[in-house]
Amino acid sequence: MSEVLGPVARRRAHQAEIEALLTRPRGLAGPAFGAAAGVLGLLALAAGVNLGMLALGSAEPRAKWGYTASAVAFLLQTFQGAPLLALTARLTKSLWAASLNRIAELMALGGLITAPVFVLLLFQLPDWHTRPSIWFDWPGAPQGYDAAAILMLALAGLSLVELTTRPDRRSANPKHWALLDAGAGTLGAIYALLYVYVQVLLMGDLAMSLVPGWHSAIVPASHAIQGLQAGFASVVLAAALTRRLGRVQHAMPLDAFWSASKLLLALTLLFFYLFWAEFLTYWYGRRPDEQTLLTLLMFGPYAVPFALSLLLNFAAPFALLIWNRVRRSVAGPMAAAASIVLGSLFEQIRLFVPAWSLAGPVRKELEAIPPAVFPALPDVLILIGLPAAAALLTICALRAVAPVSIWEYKSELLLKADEPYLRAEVTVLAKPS
Amino acid sequence: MQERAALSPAQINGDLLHFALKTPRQFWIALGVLGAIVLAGVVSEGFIVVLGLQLLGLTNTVYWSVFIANFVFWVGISHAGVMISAILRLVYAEWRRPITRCAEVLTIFALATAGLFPLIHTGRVWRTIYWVFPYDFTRNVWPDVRSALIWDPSAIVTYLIGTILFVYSDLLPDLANARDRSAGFRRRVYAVLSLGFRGTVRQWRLQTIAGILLASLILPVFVSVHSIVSWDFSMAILPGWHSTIFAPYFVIGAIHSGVAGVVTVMVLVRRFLRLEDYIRPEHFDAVGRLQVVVAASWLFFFLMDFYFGIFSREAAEIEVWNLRLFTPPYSALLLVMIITGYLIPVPLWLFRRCRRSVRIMFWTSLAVNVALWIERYMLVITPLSYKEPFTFTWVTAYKPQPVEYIITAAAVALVLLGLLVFAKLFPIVPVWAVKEGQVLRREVRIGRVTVPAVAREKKY
Amino acid sequence: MVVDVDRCTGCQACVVACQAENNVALNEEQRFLEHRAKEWIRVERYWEGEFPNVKARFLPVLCQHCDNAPCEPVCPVYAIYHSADGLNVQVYNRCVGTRYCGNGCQWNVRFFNFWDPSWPEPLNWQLNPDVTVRSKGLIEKCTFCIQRINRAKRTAAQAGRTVSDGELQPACAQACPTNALVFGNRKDPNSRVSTLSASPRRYRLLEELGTEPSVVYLKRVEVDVEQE
Repeated sequence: MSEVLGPVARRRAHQAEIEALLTRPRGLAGPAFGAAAGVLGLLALAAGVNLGMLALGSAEPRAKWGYTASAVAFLLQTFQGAPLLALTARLTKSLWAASLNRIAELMALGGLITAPVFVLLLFQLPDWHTRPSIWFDWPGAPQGYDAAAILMLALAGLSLVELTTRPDRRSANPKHWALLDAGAGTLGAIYALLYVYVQVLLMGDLAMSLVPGWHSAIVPASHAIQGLQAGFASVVLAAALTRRLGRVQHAMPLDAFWSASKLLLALTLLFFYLFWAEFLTYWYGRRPDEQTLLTLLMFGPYAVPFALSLLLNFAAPFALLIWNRVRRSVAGPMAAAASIVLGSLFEQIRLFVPAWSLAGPVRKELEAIPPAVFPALPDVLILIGLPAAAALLTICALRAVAPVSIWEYKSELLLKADEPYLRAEVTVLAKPS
Repeated sequence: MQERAALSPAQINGDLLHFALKTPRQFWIALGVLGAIVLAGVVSEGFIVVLGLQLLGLTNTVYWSVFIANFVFWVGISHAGVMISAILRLVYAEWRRPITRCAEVLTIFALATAGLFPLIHTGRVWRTIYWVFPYDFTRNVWPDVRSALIWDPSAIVTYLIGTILFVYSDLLPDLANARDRSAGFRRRVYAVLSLGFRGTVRQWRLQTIAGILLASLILPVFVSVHSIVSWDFSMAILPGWHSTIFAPYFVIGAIHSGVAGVVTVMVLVRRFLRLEDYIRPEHFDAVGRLQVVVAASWLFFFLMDFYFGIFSREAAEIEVWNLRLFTPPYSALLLVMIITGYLIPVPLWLFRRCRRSVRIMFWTSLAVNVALWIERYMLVITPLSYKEPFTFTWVTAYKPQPVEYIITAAAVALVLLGLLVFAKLFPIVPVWAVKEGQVLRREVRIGRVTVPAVAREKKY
Repeated sequence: MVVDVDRCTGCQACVVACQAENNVALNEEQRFLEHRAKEWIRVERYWEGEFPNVKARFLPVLCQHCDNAPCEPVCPVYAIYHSADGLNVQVYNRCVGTRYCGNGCQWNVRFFNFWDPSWPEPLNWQLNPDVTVRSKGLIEKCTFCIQRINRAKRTAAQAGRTVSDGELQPACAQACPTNALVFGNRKDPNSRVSTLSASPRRYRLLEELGTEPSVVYLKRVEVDVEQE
């Protein structure tokens, strides 16, 4: 193995060196950063232009919004699912992936892209009176409530970024620390609850209510868990890239990736479990309406994205991550994470494009399955451009703050130490709680 | 996490083994009472076998009732063991140490009890026992693997065998300890059971690896067992049962009920074995925090089942929910369930003072299990009660009969009896684990403060 | 089977015939109140309208012998199978009484024996020797009088021919005074059931569940009678 899990003691010796590394202008400074920002910016612009053209065009067919919906869902899964990695660590008061927390939280900035496009999509939905929903005669439903939820989620994400980067941006005093202590955990819990709520609304209003007969109660929960998986994977991928390009290997040691990859394996298994639960229930019952649903979403016109999703979200990461040697590297988790992120894209395509491709007001029963909607150039540009816009925001943020949170890094060093024991060495972890 | 002075090994041995080595009078009284209740259950079952299932409250539509609710309930409680011992072991949570064994033993007896119910709820118990196994190759008579009721025994037997192996490998060092401190017949029995464990480095390594391997292997079983039990219901096309969410819903409910069951057992063990030094308020605090997350997830899944049931706007689904929400006695039961399962316990568990109070934790754990039993009951009975698509026959009001009450009570007594006998024969708090925790204790000075710490193997 | 609801008078001769032919246990009033009565075929009665213009509608419901039966794959001991003739067959001596099939049947035509049946003297003399008497603890249901089907097939095989249309009838069809119940071979395009099944009045009970029932119902013809 070329890289060593630097023992804590050795890192402590390099502390000053590493801090300098983290606070200087990013490795992506200058022309490299400019190029990256330029490319991402162009893609984002292309996406924005196409979105504008879609919005200004005619209301029908609704199918033209299918890929936009997939892009929004993809952003929700990856960028807005990423902070959950940091939250898990904070809520359990553990330090297992402390070096990844900053990147995880910065990805919440993707909420600034998701929220407006989500709201735009809400106004393309048919009248709720003609389709199943959980909204009764409430005024402003569903646009008002859904928009409020997604905006609050974006706001929570921004507050989280602000709160956790504050000690690195200004010098901290005890009041700041007290606020951070109390606030980070609570705000994180609020973010998690809002995230789950938005998933319920996304799947309920933007997918299931458009397809007659699709009222699968597990879908919001399974989509949320898949968001957890895709979010963790995006963090691992982004962190691995930053580590290499920013040359911050000492600050992001191997054990963070090792711990994150164990969780990724567990989440990969959960992905399959939740998919299987829905599939088995529908397939076994042999009810004609549910069989039609399986054809629409899994085995019919969208069989290719579905197969790719299973392969990339489950088969490939599972095959990679069960090996201890693969987990104990950076390239291994990075490959698995890349597979999961790509798989997540196909998963959103196979969920949302069929739902939006059913034209007109929502009928009682799904009679005919419409043919597959292939992405045209505007769709491809939107699918690539929206995540590019979110990525652009993230790398711009990385110019203002270090890629590893310095205050968490220092506290990790304070709480961990190596000491000899009998004929070996043990790591001593202080537990202030 | 270490709130009292370190204990010496001799003291630990004395405290934790004394019950196994001496028999107080309370033991016999408890044995008698529990035994009597179990006997009442056996006698009731005898009546059922002789007279038929007419003794239960079943009707032509409500074919599954309290026995199936009990089955699901006890399988749920059995999830305690894996949650506490396997998962907490894999995440290195130090607070698991005193409670792993009582959780695992609760699992074993809960599973064994759960396994009785699918047998006794059938019409011909004496046939069911062996006809679900594929033994009759010569005559080409097979059980039907398409049936969820065949997936059930496979899952439960796997889980039971895995847990027994897990407990046994965990018990080996303590059996050796007991062997070394006893004499005569007892010594011979412990000697055989401890398989010659002498505490050499190699044996400890093997024991540790066995524990970690079994803990990891039992995790998929943990998720799949209750999912398979839930699929008994979701594979049927009955409205109210045919829901995709049952698998994770049941698993979370099982974790909720199981962890609460562990808390109950923790309190009983602490009280009756006088182990206040080993099962401390800090352990209840940690369990309480876990319970908040689990209870919230349980409520989320319940609400998802509810919303997407009525979301469908299918008349049959809405009728089942009408039955649950607005028709007595089910409406009262639902209210009790939400109150005792979430609205009372969770606000209490949010406060550290309440989490550290053994009394509050005991009563909230019982409340949670009452709520989850009601949930299982409602889930089994209400869709069946409504199964009248042709309105000529009326919606049946199912009423449980005396034998059903007796056998339900007997199941509780059976599990407690199992725990009692186990605690008599073997140490219920793992002696070696507690000692290991002592060895790994540290204290670290950070600035002006001394903070408790734990030593861990270096990760390479 | 074809059930012509327009011809059904609600006389329940089919119910009695089935009970006699198949050794179905006797029902008392208490059994109906307990909702445990066994009627392999039952005639449901619905009231329509307000007094004095009340009308009764009758619907005979029996085992639909679904091609895609929800009761079949769920039996753990394989006591249920779908025969080559298209019948949903219950194997009494294999059934252990888990009642999972009963939960799956949405027509509620599967009946569990909660107790051992008894026939007071001299009713025990009229039991049909061709049909098993079922003990407690297992599920029973309409078999389309499989004992008659087998007898007819044996007779025809011995004579070197196939069973002809109308040669055999289950007890309910035989007893029906208005020929509302017609039984036959669906695969024979010339049989009465095939001809009747093609009627525009056809429907099937709970068709939307996709279980493919073998019993076809024919809708009642409404005639508006002007009141003078």
